[in-house]
Formats: sequence, structure tokens, C-alpha cells
Amino acid sequence: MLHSLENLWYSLSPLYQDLLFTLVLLLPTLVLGLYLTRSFSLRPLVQSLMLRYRWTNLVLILLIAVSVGLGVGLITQERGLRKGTAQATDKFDLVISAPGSEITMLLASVFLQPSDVALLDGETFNRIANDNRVDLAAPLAFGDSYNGAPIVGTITAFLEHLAGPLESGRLFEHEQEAVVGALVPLKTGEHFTPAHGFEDGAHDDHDHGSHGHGDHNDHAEEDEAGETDNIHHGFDYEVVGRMKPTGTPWDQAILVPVEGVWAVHGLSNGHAPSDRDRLGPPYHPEYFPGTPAIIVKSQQLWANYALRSDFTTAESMAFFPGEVLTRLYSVMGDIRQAMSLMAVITEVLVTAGVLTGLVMLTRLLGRRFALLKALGAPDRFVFALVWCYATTLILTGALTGFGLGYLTSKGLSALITEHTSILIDVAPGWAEVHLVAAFTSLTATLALLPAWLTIRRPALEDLRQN
Amino acid sequence: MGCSLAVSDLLVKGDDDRTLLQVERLSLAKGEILGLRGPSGAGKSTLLYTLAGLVKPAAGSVLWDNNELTALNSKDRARFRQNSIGLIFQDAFLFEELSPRDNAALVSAFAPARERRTIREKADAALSMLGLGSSSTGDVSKLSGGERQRVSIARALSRQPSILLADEPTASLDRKTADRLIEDLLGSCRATETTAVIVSHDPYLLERTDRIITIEDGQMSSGGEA
Repeated sequence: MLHSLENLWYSLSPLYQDLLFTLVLLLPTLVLGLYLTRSFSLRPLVQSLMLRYRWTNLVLILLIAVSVGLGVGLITQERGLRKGTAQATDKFDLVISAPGSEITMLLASVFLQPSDVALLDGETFNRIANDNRVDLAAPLAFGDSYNGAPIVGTITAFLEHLAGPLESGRLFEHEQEAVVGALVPLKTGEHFTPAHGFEDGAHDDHDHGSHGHGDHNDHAEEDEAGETDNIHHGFDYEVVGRMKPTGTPWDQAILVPVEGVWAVHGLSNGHAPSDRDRLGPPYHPEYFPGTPAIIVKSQQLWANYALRSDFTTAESMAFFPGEVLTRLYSVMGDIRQAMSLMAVITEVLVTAGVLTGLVMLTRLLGRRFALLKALGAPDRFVFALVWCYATTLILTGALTGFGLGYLTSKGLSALITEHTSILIDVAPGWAEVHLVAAFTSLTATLALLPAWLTIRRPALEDLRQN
Repeated sequence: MGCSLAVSDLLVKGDDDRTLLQVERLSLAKGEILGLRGPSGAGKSTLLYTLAGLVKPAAGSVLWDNNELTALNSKDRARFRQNSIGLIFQDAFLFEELSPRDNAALVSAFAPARERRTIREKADAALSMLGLGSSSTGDVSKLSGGERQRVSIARALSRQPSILLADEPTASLDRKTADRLIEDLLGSCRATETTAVIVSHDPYLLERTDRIITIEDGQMSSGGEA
């Protein structure tokens, strides 16, 4: 029997499983509601009770809404963050860097967060690039920025891999050409001067800039004329193309030839002097200044694992960004559990507060219930009236909380997306529907208590109240 | 058509075991209107609510036709009240958020579905008879004291009760309004031969009843027998 039920459950589609689970959660409330309200006409009286102490009722509804909204917001936000960050790593199958912290490297190479990292040499790069299993080996070079937009040195194959065909313009063909991310406020044909680090200072075209190399904010001292001393004077990039949106921090990045980043810092550009104008691999190991990370792609999944194994050595570190992210999620999961516990505690406290409020309200409304009893209303009618009134408050609060939590989460996501360019897509999901259903069902069941207390009150005492 | 009433050896005690009311014998004929008078706290309202089944006596019998009220459980007493008794209080006790019409037909909310329409029609008829037909869908809070009390009378009459129990129905009204209400109330009772017990201090109301009894210190002093 149990086995066939289990089989039946797993034969259902996820949608039907969720619908069924929601129904099961709501079942106690539905059964109670149908049993208590049968053969009665309660709606006008429930409306009347809702209007009688409307401000107090509103406060109770808001209390419920805030507590439910907290839970809903937490679930939707966490899910959106997971989805957004996972999507950001989609194009980064394998990252190879110098040994160090995988998380730091993940933040630097995928999420373009400023970090101090060691460099891989040219021989290592060539060994990776020349491996038969590797389809793409793209060096990255960070450290410069323009008006807060990070400048990343790389190769054209990586641009195509990252965002597909360009939205407009063409790929860079010279050292001082740039392709901008979808959200960078630079137009094709515009020139700009790179600045070192990630200062968000006043860097006007041709006039100002900052200078840096793989670190951040450490050269932002201004001279008396108000100009920063970290400008890469005399080195301009021209915007020649724009990428399609990716929903990742790369939408706010400016991509330039890696040779340009090296050259702007006075380093050799990766090629022998006889091949000085070349862009992209192969690179000459002697003239290769170093790269903090190499993005590697192979067509076979197994090859990624083999490459990771082969390049996890004393000189290099290879990792799957998705895997590191999963470890981060587990930390986030712990935080979510702690926050969920806080949300549950809040909901329990609010439920207790709402029930106390309901008991007090039903006392204030005692004369009305006593009148109904005196007119011959059966106890079940008064019981059903109090329960329906309480459940209307609870349901209204829970649904308002659902909307409130969702909208808050959406607003918060928009803020995060604006600041990080990680597309956080918040959409209502079944987890929060289940949360609201469970809360409603539990609280509506607890609302039997004020209903029971009301019918136990002697009608005559309430009728004689002035 | 009203009910007859036979009360015998009735004893009502308070929470502290103090005797609140003692009635050796009281009877009413069908359609008779009884006035109850006496000083405050004498036990008039206690008697009225005992006759309504809202107070359970410690001993004795309350027989409405063949229904022994003291033998009924709380559910059956509620059903008896719903079907047979119309109650009017000193305070009109209206739901301020409902219209006069909805207040008058309040009983329909818990009456069997098949009777709801009839109750609403009777409530409408009662409101019209009491001169409130035109304002029956308005706002209850805009009605005067007399009008509010008339809505409560319409509520009591909406099920065409065989028994009407009224607790100082004119106490909070001015003379003119009270006189009009007395005419309406007693006129309606006589027209439908409803048995009525009315607690009042109003001599004008009492002298228009069929019989008056006085209660003092929980004891009936005179006029127990019809």
C-alpha cells in the first residue's frame, strides 16, 4: 500500500506534486471551513466584524504580512541569488591560475572583483593552450578601469565564447581597441584613457585616468591640481564594438586585447619584437609577462576533469567555478538556515501576538456574539463566525505578506543587479506557496482557540455589559 | 398564535449561591401581554432571561406550551429561542456596519437556508409596518434612538415569534418616541396574538398590558395567576 502510494507520488509531474502538497497543507483549513460554515450565511457578519475595529484589524493583518513577507523574501532572494550566480559561471568551465584561494580566484575571474593574485608564466600558458583536449585557453589580465568599469585584457575568442556575436561593431584588431559590455556607457568610436585600479574617480576622456596592476585603490592619491597620479597618460583605447547582454558582471566590463593591458603597464606584450603587432596566441614564453587566470574550455566533459587533474600541480591550480560556487552555496545554506530559523521564530511570535489580539478582540465584540446567542444562534454558528473572522485576517495577512515579500525581494534584486550586474531573477516559486499555505493552515487551526473561548463565555454577562 | 406559559417553583441562584429569584407560580394564556415592574435589581430581567432560556434555574419548571425549557440542553434551548422567541433589549444592539434591513433579518444568517427568504420578507414587512421601509437600506448609524429600537423590534418579529420578551424597550427613548413605539409593539402583538412579557418602569406602557405583576427582592408580590 505504502509502496504503491510512493510509486504514485513519483509518477506525478513536479507541478502536480507541488499542487498536491499545497492542497494537503491547506486541507485542515479547508475541512474546518467547510464543516464549520455549512448551512450558515456568514459573509455579511464577517464583513461587519472586519469593519468594526478596522484599524486594529489592519495592524493584525500587517503584522502577519510582515512575518510572512520575511520568509517569502528570504526564500525568493536566496533562490534568485543562487540562480544568478550560477548563471554567471555558465561560460567558465575550468579556470586555471597560480595556486591560492579558489574562492578569491573565482571572485576575480568570474565576478571581476578586485584581488591580489599571483601570475602564471608563459610556459604554463602554452602548455595549456597547446593541449589537444583544449578548445579555448583565454588569458585574463585585470587591474585597470575606466569610470568604475573594470578593464579586462583577453583574446577575441573569449569574447565570442562569452557573449556570442557582438551586438554592434567589431572585435578588437589592434592593441588600443576595446569592446564594451552591454551596460558600459561608452559609444562605438569613443576614446578613453584607462586608470589603474578600480577608482570610481573623475576620469574624463583623454584628460584623467588611474594606473594600476592587479590590485585596487592603492594609488588613488591626488596631486594639488586635483588629478590622480595613477592615470595611464598617453594611452587611449578606442571603442570598436559592444557585446550582447550576458546578465553577468561582464556586462559592465571593458574588454581589450591582453597585449594592451601589458603594454599600458610598460611590459612586453607577449610576443617577440619581430612579431610585435600580433594579437592573441601563440605567445612567446620569454615575452609573456604573466596572467592571473586562464579560462579553459574543452568540448568533452571528461576532458575538463582530466585537465583539472593535470593542471592541479605545485605551479598551477585548476578548478571548476561551478563546484566552488556549490561550496559557497553550502555556506550560504547555513546562513539561510539561520535566517529561516529567525523567520520561523518571528512567525511564531507574530502568531502568538495575533492570537492574543484575536482573543482580546473577541472580548470587545462579546456583546455582538452574546446577542446572536440570545437570538437563538447555535454555538456552532458563533464558533464559525469567530473562526471565519480570524481566518479572514490570517489569510489576508498571509496573501499580503506573499506579495510584500515578493515585491521586496524584487526590489532588492534590482539593487543587487544594478551594483553587480549579476542578473537576479526573482519569480514566485512553490517553496513560498508552501510556506504561506503551511502558515495559514497552522494559524487557522490555532484560531479555533479564540472561537472556543468565545462560545464558552456566558451570553448574559456580555448582554448586561454597558 | 402565541404560547401559553406555566412557571412553577422556579428558583434562580447566583454564582455565590445567593437566591436571585423565586417564583412559586406564574401562568400566561396564549396571546396575553404581561407587564413586569419592580425596583432595579429586583429580579425582573432575571425572570425574563430565564423565560428565554438564557439563565438555567437551580430548580423549578418553565413550560411554554408543551416545551419544558429547563429540560432542554443548550442547543435545543437555542433552537427554541430561534423558532419561538423574539427578544427586545433596552439597548437596540444593532450591528452598526449592516443596514437596517440586514439587522432586522439577522436571524436569517443562522436559520435553515429554506427559511431565509421568508425571514427577509417578514423583516421587510415589519420594517414597513414600523415606518422604516424607506430607510431600510441606509446607514444604521444615522437612525435616531426610536428608529434603532424599531429596527430591533423588526428583528424580533422577523421570525413571527409566538413569544415576545422585551426588557425595558422604551427606557432610553423620549416620551413621544416611546409612545409611538408602545403603540407599534403592542399593536403588533395583539394583531398576531403573540404572548408577550415586557419589563418596564414606564407606567404608560404597563397600563396598556393585560396584566401587571410586581417583583421585589426576587419574589413575585402579586398577580401570578392569569
